[in-house]
Amino acid sequence: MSTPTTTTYEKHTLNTKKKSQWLDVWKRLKKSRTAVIGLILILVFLMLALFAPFIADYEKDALGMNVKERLQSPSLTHWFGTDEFGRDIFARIVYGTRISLFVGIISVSIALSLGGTLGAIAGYYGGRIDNAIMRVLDVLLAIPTILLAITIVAALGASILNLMIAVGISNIPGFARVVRASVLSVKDQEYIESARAIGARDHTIILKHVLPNSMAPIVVFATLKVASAIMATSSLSFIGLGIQPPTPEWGNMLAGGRAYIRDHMYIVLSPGLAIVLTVLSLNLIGDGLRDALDPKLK
Amino acid sequence: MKNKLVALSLIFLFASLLLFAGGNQEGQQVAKTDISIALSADITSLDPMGHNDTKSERVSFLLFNRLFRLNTDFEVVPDLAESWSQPSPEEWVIKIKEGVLFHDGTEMTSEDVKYSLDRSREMPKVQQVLSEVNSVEVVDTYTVKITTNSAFAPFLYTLVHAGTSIVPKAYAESDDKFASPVGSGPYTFVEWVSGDRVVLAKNDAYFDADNMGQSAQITFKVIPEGTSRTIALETGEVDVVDELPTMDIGKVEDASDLTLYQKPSTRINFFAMNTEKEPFDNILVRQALNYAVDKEAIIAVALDGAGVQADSVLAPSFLGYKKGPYSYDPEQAKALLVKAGYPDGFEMSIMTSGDERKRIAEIIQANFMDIGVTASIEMLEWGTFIDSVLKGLEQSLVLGWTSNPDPDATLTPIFFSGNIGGMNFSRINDPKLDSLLKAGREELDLAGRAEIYGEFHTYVMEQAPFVPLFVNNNNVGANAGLKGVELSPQGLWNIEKIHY
Amino acid sequence: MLIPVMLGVIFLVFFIISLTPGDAASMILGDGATEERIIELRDDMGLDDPLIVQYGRYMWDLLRGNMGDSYSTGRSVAGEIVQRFPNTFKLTVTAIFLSVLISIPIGVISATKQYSLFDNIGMILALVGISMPSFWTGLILIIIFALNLGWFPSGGMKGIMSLVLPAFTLAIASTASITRTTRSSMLEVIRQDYINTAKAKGVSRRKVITRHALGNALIPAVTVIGLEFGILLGGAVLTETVFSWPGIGRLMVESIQRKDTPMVLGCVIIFSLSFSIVNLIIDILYAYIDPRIKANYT
Repeated sequence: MSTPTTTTYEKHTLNTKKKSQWLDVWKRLKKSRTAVIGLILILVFLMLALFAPFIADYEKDALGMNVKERLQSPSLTHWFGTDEFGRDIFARIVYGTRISLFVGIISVSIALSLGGTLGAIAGYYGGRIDNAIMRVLDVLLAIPTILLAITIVAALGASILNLMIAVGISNIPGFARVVRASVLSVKDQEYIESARAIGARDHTIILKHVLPNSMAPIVVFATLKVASAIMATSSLSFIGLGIQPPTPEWGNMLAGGRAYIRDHMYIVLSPGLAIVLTVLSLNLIGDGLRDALDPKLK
Repeated sequence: MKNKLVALSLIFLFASLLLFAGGNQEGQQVAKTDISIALSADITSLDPMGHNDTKSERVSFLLFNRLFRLNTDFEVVPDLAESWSQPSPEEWVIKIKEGVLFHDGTEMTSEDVKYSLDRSREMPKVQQVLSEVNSVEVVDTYTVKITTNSAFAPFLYTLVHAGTSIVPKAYAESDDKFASPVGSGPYTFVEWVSGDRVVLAKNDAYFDADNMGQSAQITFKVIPEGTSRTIALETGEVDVVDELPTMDIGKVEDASDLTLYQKPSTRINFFAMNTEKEPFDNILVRQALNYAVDKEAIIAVALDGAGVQADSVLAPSFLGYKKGPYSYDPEQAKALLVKAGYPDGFEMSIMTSGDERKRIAEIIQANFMDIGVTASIEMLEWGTFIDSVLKGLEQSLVLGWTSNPDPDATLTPIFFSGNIGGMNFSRINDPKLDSLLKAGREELDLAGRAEIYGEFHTYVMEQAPFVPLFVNNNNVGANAGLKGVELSPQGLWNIEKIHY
Repeated sequence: MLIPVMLGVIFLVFFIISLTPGDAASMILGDGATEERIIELRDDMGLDDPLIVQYGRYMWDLLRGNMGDSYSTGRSVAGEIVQRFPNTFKLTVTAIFLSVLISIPIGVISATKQYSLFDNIGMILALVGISMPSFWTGLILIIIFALNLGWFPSGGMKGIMSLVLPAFTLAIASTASITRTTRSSMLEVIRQDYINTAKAKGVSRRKVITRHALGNALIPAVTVIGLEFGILLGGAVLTETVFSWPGIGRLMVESIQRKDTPMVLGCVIIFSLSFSIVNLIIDILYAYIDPRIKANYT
């Protein structure tokens, strides 16, 4: 039962099984109209971020001040108008997309790697280790996420790196819980036991067998968390603790434009919509993925 | 199950009713004998010697008296002082009015005066104000003698500062720590709800019948956001807005039930460099930055165009004023940076506070970027900002400073080496500046003084510790029904006289 | 459970805040201070003691209701928090009340009329609601209802009218997620056997829903309310900033700008404590609604 050949064979079937499973998910996801809208939207934002230099010049349009053209309403030359310094709001939003997606993805990666490791260890070993890790996470969970992030940035100082660390750390407990639950759900299955029986080491088992088979909920959770990390980034920037001027970021654009809402409301309209659309598209995808992975609910 | 749900929703309903009932009580109409004034930031302290900012000063001026005060033309007039004489150039004998009562009913004596002035010289936030004072002695119950370190012509000007308020000795030594301050002013303390409001009530036993409080109650409302202040004025939630945002001037002018008060200020707004810190210890760098800043853009953004460019460290109306040599010239700036040994620029930070100054700092940041200097902006809450600046924590800063009418009263605090740690924002320590200042305050002939200050302007702009930015107006918006609204070059003045 | 978690929270926050660069004593005294004076003050403040000793001292003071004095105003931190807390309480409780009031009926109707127009619109709105950053929603509500229509004040705290916009702003996100939870748990319950049995017995549809389904469906909704409360407290920081609402959230942001460490510490602790207490209450409620579950915390 435990010859090397059988394991290779087993692995092989597992892989094909996994592939076809994700193919199924993709087929189901394609059927969901809302998820497709989300995918298209996020694709647009990704393109904006990627091709930003072809759309507008960073130095000239996004940072360059031109007080003669300040506070202009949206027009053909300035699609979303200009801000209080005469900078083109559209250009700033385009470059803001880069920051938001970057910070969102990196901070979730931080949370996923740290939280995921903790969760996997807790779930896999169980017992005292599990208990100890979960108690520590209880403490982190007792502080509302955004407040934890604010506290960390307040202590470390406002910079893009500290922002990512703060948002990342504050999301650790969530990821730990999700990964732990997934690990728990697969760890007693036969193929894990057989892997253990052939003497595979723990971290090999976790990395090669447990995690790949418990990916589904983690992917869903990570998608939703990128959305909330983007929201957190703009929130922190709005209160002056996130991305600092002159770097364009949606939250700090809103903070700057706030004084002008009475006569120039467009100034806060488009940065806000950019946040809503990005977050919404990720939420739509996350929801769609969840339904596609767990067909029984729909 | 259903019963439990009903019970739960009842609890919810009850809880919310309680909340809303609580809300209602606060919604009472404010009678017309009470006025409220919008402030852009909360006060930092009720202790008159525990702050040095204009918001807290508004409140301190109503709760306390000083020996002298300024009138709206910025002349020194007696407040608590009854009479004074100068037996020698260094000695000032001041007699206070008899029968001045503190809010707790005790009478003010020369002991309180001595205690207060001594305390003022020790309290970190205001100790620079009386730095010229050598000693304060009690002569009799109502008379004190103040000895200064040297002959000091504008001495009385220092006694108008809020930090020289006379506080009751017995109270100040108690454990209350100015939580509910006792003063002698036209208004008594009612409450300070931090972040929201300060409430004062009229002092019916005020000693000065001519300057009695006119409204029964004055509430200072903290409304940090500019637009919200204007709206609060329009809806009648407040009666006076102290710092009207320039973009709303037109709205107040156009509204029939509102009045706009404007007065040219002596307020100069500047960018100051900490000359103790690298690279600002290099005069070429400071001169370079003077060429780098686009003041027109700053006026357009920060003041919506309503301001005058500043070319030296005081407003042009001052005695001996002379323009500096700089104009907006990024190329010249770059050339100077190369000469200074910074061909690739450098990194620095600008410290400031408040929306308007943040916008100024952002333009400066963009201007500096054009010459290769990377600036970051550090925003602090107002009180902390002033505090950090007095401690010299900043590398550079954006600030506005209202000058007193005599050039010495502004130039000495800001450029004299002895005031490093006080208001010498650039922390400049230059023997020639010091000696010019000394000469200016000792010279009695007007033409002679003008010449000295002219030389001072030329020299200080050459040393370039500041980039002067602009001089602005004071804009106050008030309900048209209000009487007694007065402005001094420092903004809203004699608040006790405002009433319906 | 509450007490060890809170001890952990306070330690964690204490630790994070202690990472703040710069020496507290020279912060207070300034550059000009003499070495002796700084050493003296460091000694007075016990800044050279190990962190754990400082923590112990802080806890000891905290138990007696003393949270230290503010660096910037010198006033007692506890006093300030006591003064401001009722305002945050008023805001968050009104918001949670509003969202429960709106979300439960919508969730129930959506579930009973799954895939109807009402359901579809409701769910899309809920997703959009989750995706809107509260500070932006607040600005938009100010533009519409305060600046244009003039129905409510744009900020400050004066009477019941000033509570409306901030409470709604704060309520939007939690309304959206409670609606979604109610709907999905309602859907799950409706499909269960005993509901079909009841239907088969001829019990009217309305009765089935109110008497049998709703109670069971509410259990997950109640849990979500507890979790939402944490998000709500975090949201209060931003909402209070947008509406100049003098609560703990704004106090915290101001204190960060003041570098007022003891005050920031106090605010985070009080937020976390409220969050934990709310979850304790939710657990008790849980046991009350569903006697099968024993409260975890007791």
